[in-house]
Amino acid sequence: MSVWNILEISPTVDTNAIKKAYAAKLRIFHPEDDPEGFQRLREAYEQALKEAKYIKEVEAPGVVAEKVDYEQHGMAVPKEKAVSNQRTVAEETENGNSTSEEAADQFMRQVQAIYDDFFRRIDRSQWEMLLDDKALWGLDVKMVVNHKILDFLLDHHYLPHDIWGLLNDHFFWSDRETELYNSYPNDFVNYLFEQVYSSWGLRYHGFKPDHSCDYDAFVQYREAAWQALIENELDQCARFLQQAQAIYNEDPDLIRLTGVYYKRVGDREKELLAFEQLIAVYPDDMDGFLGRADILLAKQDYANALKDYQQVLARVPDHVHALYGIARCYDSLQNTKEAKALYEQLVERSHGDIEVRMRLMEVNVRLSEQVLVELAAEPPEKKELLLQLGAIYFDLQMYTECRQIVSQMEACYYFCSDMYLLLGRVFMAEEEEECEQGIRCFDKALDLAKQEGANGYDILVQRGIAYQDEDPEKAIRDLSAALKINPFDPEVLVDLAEAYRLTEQNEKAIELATAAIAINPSRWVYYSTRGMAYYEVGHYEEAKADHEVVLAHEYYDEGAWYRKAYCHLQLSEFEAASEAFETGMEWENEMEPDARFYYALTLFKLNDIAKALKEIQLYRKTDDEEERYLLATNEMGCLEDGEIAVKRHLLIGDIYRAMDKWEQAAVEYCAGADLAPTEPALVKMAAYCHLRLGSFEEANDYLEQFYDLNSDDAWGLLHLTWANMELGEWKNAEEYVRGYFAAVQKASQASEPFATFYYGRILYQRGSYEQAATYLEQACRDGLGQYARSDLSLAYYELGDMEKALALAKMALDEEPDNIDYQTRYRGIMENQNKKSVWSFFKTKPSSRKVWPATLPMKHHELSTMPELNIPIGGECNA
Amino acid sequence: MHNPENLRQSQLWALALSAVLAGQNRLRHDVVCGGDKTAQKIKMTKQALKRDWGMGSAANLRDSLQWLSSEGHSAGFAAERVYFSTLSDAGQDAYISSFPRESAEYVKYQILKIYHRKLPQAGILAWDLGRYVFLCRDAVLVGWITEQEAWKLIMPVARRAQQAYSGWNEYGMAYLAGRQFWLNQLSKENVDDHADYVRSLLLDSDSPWRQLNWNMDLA
Repeated sequence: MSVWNILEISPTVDTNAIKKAYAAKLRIFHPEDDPEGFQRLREAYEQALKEAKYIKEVEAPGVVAEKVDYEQHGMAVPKEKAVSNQRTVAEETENGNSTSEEAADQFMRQVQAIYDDFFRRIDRSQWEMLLDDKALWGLDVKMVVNHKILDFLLDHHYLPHDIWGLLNDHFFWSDRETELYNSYPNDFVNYLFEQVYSSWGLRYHGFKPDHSCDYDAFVQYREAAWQALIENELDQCARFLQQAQAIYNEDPDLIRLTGVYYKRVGDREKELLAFEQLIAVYPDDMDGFLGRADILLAKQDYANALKDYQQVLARVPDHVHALYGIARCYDSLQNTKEAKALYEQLVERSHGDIEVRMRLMEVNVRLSEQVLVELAAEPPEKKELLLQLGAIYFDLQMYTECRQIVSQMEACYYFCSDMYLLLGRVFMAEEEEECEQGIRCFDKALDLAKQEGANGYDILVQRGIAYQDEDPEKAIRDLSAALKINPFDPEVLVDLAEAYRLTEQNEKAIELATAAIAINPSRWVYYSTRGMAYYEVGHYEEAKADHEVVLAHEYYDEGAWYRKAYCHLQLSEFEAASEAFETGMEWENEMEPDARFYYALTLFKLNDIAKALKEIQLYRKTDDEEERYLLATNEMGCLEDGEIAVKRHLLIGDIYRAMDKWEQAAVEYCAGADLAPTEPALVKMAAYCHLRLGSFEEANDYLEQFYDLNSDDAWGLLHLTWANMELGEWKNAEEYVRGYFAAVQKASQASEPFATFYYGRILYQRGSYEQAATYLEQACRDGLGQYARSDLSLAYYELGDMEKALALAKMALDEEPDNIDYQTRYRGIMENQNKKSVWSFFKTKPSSRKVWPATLPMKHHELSTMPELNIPIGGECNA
Repeated sequence: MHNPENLRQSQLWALALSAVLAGQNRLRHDVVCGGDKTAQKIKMTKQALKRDWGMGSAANLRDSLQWLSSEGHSAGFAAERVYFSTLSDAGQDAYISSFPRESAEYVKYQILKIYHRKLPQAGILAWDLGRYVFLCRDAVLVGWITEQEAWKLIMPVARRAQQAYSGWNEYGMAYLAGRQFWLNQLSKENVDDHADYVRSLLLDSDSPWRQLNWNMDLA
């Protein structure tokens, strides 16, 4: 196996890719659990690095020679890796051979050297180089080093957070938690894992190599101050902050913690000073601007607070708190409309924030008061002001006041399209939705808009939305008209998409929703519409992706969880399907009622048969009466309920089959088949189970039903033949076997050899011995001699060819000496052979059918295996 | 507000601390028991106290009131806030992202992220105090305490709330933030509901929050 196979990457000169692959494999080949595997991995890694180097330098010198112009490519120029003066541990050890202890000690000396030099200590590349040292990878060395480094870190643990992670990747502490707790003090181990697992730590980037001070002491005091702040031990915190500041007062994290401390103790002035210092020392860090902005806002210095929030936005363009701060400032600076626009944006962006909603309400109230003041002066633009006021009341959901405004306008004869538009929206928005009245208002609004020379865009949109549930075709008409006026409004695009989806024109819905997403990819509701359309047309990958976006925003949308789960199921992603079903079913609100059915199906595919049975039994139980009704109404078209009822019986039957409970499976399939006699799968499975159980009468009933559904089905015909033979219905059996031969010929299929054997037997039973012999001979030639010989001997007996009859009877008996029927027949034929002269005198001999009837079960073909699941999933075909 | 029981302004002010809950239960803001004391109402209130608080007697009431005033949910919020506020802004985002999206912690810290800069030091104390006042009102209705006893419990809490917040809006925000924190939910439907609870209190001219001056003398 090549090194690239072991690392599972293609040959490459990219050393980072090699290292990543190695790191990924380290998780599998743990040095303690699989030392050989680990050794192979390590060797493969080193060899891959060598080969990469060879390819670069020898085979593709051009690649090496090319220097990357980072700035031209808009990339940050990477820092040059610190050149290490240290010798590797391998170089240090005498002659390259040493005991593990010596090698470990050498390693630890390197560790000490790095740690003691503060700026080497905080340089990740120093640790990477050390940990890459070849000598470390002997297992014995590694084990010794592991203990020594932990002992070292007990007293030397002030390291950047990412270096803890690096060490953990090499020493696998997270896989040895119990061992560590057993061997080291709890608080140290807790500290270690906090560093390893946490997503954030105090930073080490604010130190200056040219500024000489006791950084070691500094980081200790800083960490202690942070800890005290977390525990709210403010006096202690103050002491540690002071001690840290005395050593070095330009660390951004220390300054920020100082600000937090002063906030806690309520000293606003000192808090402000701290954040001002942070801005001065570290202007790229937005915490300074955020902290100062909040203080200035509280102090009502809105102009300066605004500037600081804008600085935050300059660094993080969609910072929610900065946007909020700006909105607050605008509001306080009387830029009420701008404030309103921002609050509206924030309601969309941060929909969990109730305070923003409250602020928006307040802003709208203030705007309404401003307008009322203006209106009191009876200005010439009264109509526009009334409309503005009406719109504000609408936003505040003050629908009574909104209607009053409209009445006022009517009283002043201020009839206009906007007035009727507003009134229409009020009708649509009120609790007792008055859709018709709303639509009538929109009709009037549109007429007036035409007279006014306006295009009525907003009216078309609102009327289209009003029609969406009532009359989707009209919704399509109106929204399409709106789109012609403004083809780039994503809200209209998605409303139109929804209307198309409601009329089952899903491809069109997908096209429109995609256009909306292209314009505004951040609106999750667009993905909801498109996702549902994809779902309806069975594009499950796409539907799944869209529902994932929806759930990222609306985690508690049970419908989305159901559809996502269903998509996973159809894509045969059963684990993911199971998780999604379980998540959606966690809440008290009912998920889609059929979720449990598909969940049971998923569990079946995951081979959790017992749980699948439990779930399907919990699935809504309907009694026979209701099922008959549901299935009867299915005749009118596709009614989901009926379909699900059928599938429920199928699934339960399949589950019992998987549990080897054939009788229960039969009961279930039969119950389903009785209720849905035109469902071929149920009827077939009912027949199959009864055949397996040997209940041929019942099997025959269902086989006949199956035949009625498809008289050309070869499987059905063959089994009808068999069942009727078992029941002694030879005439029927003959009919069916002939039908079988006709069916396979029609389908250009090869016939089952047993069919020939059956026909031979049937003909024998029907007294057509010559023909019987022909077919039975053929069956023997087809390899069924063991089954056919005995019957063939009887045919020849009846035809008077005793020699052949006896020979065949003997062969059959030789093959199955314990077969009672064969014994009887052989003896019988022998006895009758001796009495041949007596027959010729009386011209009679006993009929073999009467004197030697079969007493043992009939020999038959092996029952074929049925698909484990009769409900197709995805592209599966279980025919 | 009509004030049929002739309550003092300070008493109406104190009742207004429970206005959100009162509104949800369609109770009056100007009557201690929220409305008429009917047998049906008493029975339903007792059932609600049992169901929602596990309370069956006056002794249980005192335990619950003690818990609300000394700890409540605000203590938990404060403890989380104490840690969360020490992280840088980017550190807070990284911390939140370290939890699986579907986890309770993810939602909890999202809530903290939204409110930790906006809430005063008292945090979500309003959520505990508002419920405290509402429980006292219910207790009067079901006869576990007298009205006089209720005022003795309510007024100190009212003064405490007045010190903790700067106005009805800030109090309302803190109350609802507390409710979100308790529910640990940030769904849009949930937020819409919360906005509905508070809309009339903020907008209606006869709402106690608009009629009663936050800074009135509660002595």
